[in-house]
Amino acid sequence: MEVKVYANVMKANDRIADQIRTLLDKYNIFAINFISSPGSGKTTLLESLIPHFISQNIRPAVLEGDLATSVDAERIKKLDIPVHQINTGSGCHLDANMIFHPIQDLPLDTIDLLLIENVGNLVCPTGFYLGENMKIAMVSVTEGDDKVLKYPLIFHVSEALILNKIDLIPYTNFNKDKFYQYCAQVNPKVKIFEINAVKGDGVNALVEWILERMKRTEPMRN
Amino acid sequence: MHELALSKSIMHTLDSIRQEQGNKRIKKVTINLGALQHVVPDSLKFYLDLLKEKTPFEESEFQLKETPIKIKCQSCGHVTEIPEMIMICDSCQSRNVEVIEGMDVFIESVEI
Repeated sequence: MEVKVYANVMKANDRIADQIRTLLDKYNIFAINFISSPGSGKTTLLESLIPHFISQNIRPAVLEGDLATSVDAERIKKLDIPVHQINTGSGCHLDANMIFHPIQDLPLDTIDLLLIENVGNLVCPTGFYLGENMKIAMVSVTEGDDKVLKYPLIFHVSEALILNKIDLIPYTNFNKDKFYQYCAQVNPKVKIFEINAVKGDGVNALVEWILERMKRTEPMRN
Repeated sequence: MHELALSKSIMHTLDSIRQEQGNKRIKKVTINLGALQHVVPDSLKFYLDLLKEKTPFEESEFQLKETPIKIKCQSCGHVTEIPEMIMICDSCQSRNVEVIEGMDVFIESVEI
């Protein structure tokens, strides 16, 4: 006998993610899940963003996901904010279960904004909801203008897309017109920010947009 | 690339389905793979067959069905099947479209 079940295979993950969402709501914390390839500049972006938030009286904290090492967390620690490193071992993404306990180790009553740096990967992290309010995807100029087309799902479900290392365009064959055309194909509604995370160029506009978005606290599910 | 993580989630979900079905033996499992998830069916099948060993699903057969991406125009209501991710209505050219199929991986049915 055939039984139709239509069961989402992410049910186990989503159940824990919903608990995380409830916890974040209790403390009025807005959470962003940052997803990109390895080396596109996620940690550098966070280093650049965090002082802006602090100057706006927004208290950030960071969860760092990496296969190995605490190199990224050490960099964030220098900014004197709460940070927790999660090493996934062979795991290519963060899932809700991995962050459930580390989140509870953070001083939640002193946090307004939780920045989750996912494991560098454009495929696997996309399917695992962590209880965040929104996903932000990032691609850097040196990865090529076609990344958005090659990994469409992450760019489709992200509210904002950051194009980093914008200063390197003259040294590569990156075609910005094509890039924008691909973005419009995959996600016509996505907000795009061109930045140079090392120098901080373009970061102000991104900060302003995030601050505005934080006023609408609804979570975005895939 | 994410087939191992996915196959673990599938086995976990199957466990709850089996309990809901009164722990009956599951002969066949039909899994629907949305094209946007870019799952490699052979790779997923390999992991599922590996993970089912010494579990109540040892004898279960896994059937994988691929679902193409479908978008629905929010302006004119037209539904288009798209071979790649181009969010444009092929009837009225509007970009105000939503993906209605092909985003998820789910267990469609079980045979008991």
